[in-house]
Amino acid sequence: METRDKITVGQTLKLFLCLCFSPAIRAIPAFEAQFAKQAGWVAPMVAFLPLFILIFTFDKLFTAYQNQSYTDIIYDILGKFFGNILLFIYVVGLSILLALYTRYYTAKLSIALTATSRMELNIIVLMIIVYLVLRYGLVIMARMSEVIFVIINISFCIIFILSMNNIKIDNLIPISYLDIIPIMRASYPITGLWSYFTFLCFFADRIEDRQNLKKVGTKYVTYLVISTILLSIMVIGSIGYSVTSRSPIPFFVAVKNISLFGAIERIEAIVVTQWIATDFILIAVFLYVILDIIKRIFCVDDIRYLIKISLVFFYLFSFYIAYTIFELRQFSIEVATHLNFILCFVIPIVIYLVGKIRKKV
Amino acid sequence: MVKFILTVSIIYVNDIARLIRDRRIKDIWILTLFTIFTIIFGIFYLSDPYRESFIGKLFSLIKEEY
Repeated sequence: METRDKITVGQTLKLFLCLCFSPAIRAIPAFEAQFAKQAGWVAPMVAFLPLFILIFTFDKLFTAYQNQSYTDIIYDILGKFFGNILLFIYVVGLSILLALYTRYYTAKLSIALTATSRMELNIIVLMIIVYLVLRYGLVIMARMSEVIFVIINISFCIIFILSMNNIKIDNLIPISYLDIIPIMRASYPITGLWSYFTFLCFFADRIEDRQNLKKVGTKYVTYLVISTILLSIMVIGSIGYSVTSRSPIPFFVAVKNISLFGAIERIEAIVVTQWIATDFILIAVFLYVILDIIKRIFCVDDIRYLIKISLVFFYLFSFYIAYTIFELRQFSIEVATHLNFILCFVIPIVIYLVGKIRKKV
Repeated sequence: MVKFILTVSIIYVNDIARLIRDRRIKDIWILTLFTIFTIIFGIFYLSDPYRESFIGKLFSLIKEEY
């Protein structure tokens, strides 16, 4: 929570890719299969455009506001009163998402590993690790994300290569002009998830070389799109759109099907490792952003004393938010998708337009 | 419930002691506010852990079936 800790654009984007990974493997293939069936794997190409617009919007804002965070920009464009209202909305939205992902984390572990295990223990362990990392601030979190980024990408490449035998081209075609509207619909939740980039802009004042955001951002976003297309091809191509849309964790089902000459089997443990690592990054980043916003609302210098008490709150809130995976799934489709899209995509663009009208950008 | 209140109290005392030592009055107020909020929420949830969930309440509010 200290202001002197600075990270690079590359580290920020690695944090972004890590926090996108967990919701991506859980939800993206399911959304694509539900809305666009066999053509779902094309949807990331469409979601590419809004993410580019978002990065260009922030690039413009950061050019106008040197060394200032998204919070500073909100205050300058909207004023203190409306700025505080908007930041409070962000805190509420982020708190709901944090509790949702904490609950998803434990639900996924119950499905994948041990259905009878006590989920309290899973959450407590996660919360303790989040506390230990947040105590040391953004730099440690960014360095951890660099390591996790390499691990999840190598393991994803291995899983993809091993699953190539199971991918059936019949599950991925035909695609015609009739699929344009379903593909657009499938790209909407992906845009919402990828717009989490906005949350990272709350600590943009701690990014050293942010004049390179457009250049480095384009590189990482292209990588994100390609890896999401590969993920979609792997899942929809292996198990078909019907099973993908019905399964709570289709990626896990696709990985379970991997078998290489009967010698390499049951490699789903790799997936569980990926989940735990990326969920940890996601929860740590969200909590960091929540505390950073609270710090600005209350105009204080250091807010690390709130880490422990907020973790206790989110521990309880994650139990209260939902009792079943069906509730979580329905909430993700009916509410969280729109919440993501409005908070992370619409609001930054509105702020940019208001800034433009008020001749501040 | 007892475990929860005990845990929150220990965390509160541990954090506030440092703030009092440094005479950070505003921070003391903020920590106290958040602790009270957490305690109220904890008592609300733990008094009946099987009450309708947040999502369930939200869906019944917007009349969404699931």
